[in-house]
Amino acid sequence: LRAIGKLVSKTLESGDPVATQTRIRDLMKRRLRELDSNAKVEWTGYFNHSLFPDFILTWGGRDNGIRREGFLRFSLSFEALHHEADLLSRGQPLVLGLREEPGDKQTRPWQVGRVLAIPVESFDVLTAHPRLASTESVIELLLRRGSGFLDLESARALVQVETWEEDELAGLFETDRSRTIDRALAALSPFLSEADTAEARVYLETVALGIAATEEWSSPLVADQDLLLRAPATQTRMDRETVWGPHRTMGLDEVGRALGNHQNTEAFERLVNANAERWKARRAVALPQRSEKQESGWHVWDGRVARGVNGYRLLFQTLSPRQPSLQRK
Amino acid sequence: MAVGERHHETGREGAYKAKLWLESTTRFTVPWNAYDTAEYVTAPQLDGTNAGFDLAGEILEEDGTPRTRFLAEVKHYKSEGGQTAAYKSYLATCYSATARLIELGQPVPDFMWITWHPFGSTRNYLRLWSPEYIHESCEEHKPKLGSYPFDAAVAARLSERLWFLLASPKLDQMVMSRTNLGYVKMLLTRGGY
Repeated sequence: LRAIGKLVSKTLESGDPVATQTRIRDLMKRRLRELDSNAKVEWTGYFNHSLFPDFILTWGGRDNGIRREGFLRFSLSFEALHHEADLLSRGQPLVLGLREEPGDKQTRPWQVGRVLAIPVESFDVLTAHPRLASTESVIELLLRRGSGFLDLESARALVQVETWEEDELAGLFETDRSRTIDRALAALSPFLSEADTAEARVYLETVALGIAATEEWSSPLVADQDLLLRAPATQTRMDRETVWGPHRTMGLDEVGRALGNHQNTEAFERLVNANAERWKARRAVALPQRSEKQESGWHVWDGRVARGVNGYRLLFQTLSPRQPSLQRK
Repeated sequence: MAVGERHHETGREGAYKAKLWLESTTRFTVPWNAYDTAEYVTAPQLDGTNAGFDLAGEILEEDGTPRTRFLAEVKHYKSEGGQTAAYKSYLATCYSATARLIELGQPVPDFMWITWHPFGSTRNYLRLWSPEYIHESCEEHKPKLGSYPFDAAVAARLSERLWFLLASPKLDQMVMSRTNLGYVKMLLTRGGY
């Protein structure tokens, strides 16, 4: 991938303002898709406008999901932009720089309210990193809930976190991944509110469990039929044959069937309740699928904390976690 | 901060404020400026050079479609600051650009002078964008016309395309409330909401 700043500079050389806007939009559209393929990007028709966003990012649908306004800016470091940042901060905007800015980078006018500002060098670091299965989660959390100024050092720290599954795949996930999660949260926490950081931990733990159960076939948890119930973000991917394989269906088959039918929430709830104590003892995790019946009283156990459905409903509505890769490597 | 840098920042702040002011009306888009995208704030001159401005954008029709391009010179000044002479030089530049673009068969933009401080005699305020004043300015800056003679028809055409905006120091307060801005955004960003 070529650096965005260089591509933008080359585009500007064309001398055609209209074509330049189109090319920059296309470029940023591609890069945003690479960064978070679950995000829906809608372009408004405005370009580098003081007040109106260039694009709207949504996750999880228009009505219940997250929505962020996206602004493209050739410069992020100009002091007088404080006024503009303050004016726009209510929309929890994502502001993306388009050109590298020499000179004093200490001026950070966009570091206000719930604004997330990503200078072009940092954006390059995030998008240039190879996408690993399940590792998008950290960046997704940042994009959806983050605020602050993502300098180069912070961007590199986030990308470093993303290597977790390769770094520590061989270990027992409970120990190794908890360290990784701590590292991820340390990198993320400057950009998340306290509440979002707490939710991020739950989310990352879930992703880690998902990796363990679906990709580490030798995981003692799976081998021991310890249960992972993970409602998929995409139903079509919840294929029991893929997830657990035909030889792993004993004991899981019933769960898989219930999960496969997302409308059948009463049956799922009965299943959870019937197995609650056994699963709790085995540190199983049950996550509710986003559903109209989410308030029916599902619970989550991880052996240490019991969170009510509201916590997880909020998590799913606000984070819309991506289904961990269900494919074996 | 060095004096030059301070002037640079002051100029940039003026360009930013002018952009916000114009775009707040919803009848302008101003994506280009001399500080970030100098490539798109220039106009060709009769003497073969390119003249730089501070801002460039589009004037929009009521339905939001572009009507015409414009170039703007911004003077974020707290005093007269030699604007009388600078304005005449600017008029000659605008004339030169207009004549050159006509010659090239390209669209002629509108030109704006946006200042935070009046200058010269305000008794003949309307004269500032008259064909006569353009002529007078071109006479004082003949090199900008290269080898071309002054053309009154070009000056008359330019006169219709000149904007003169006097900004207020309280311009920052002349912006929609955040609530109203939210409503307007909902309407104008179409599919985004």
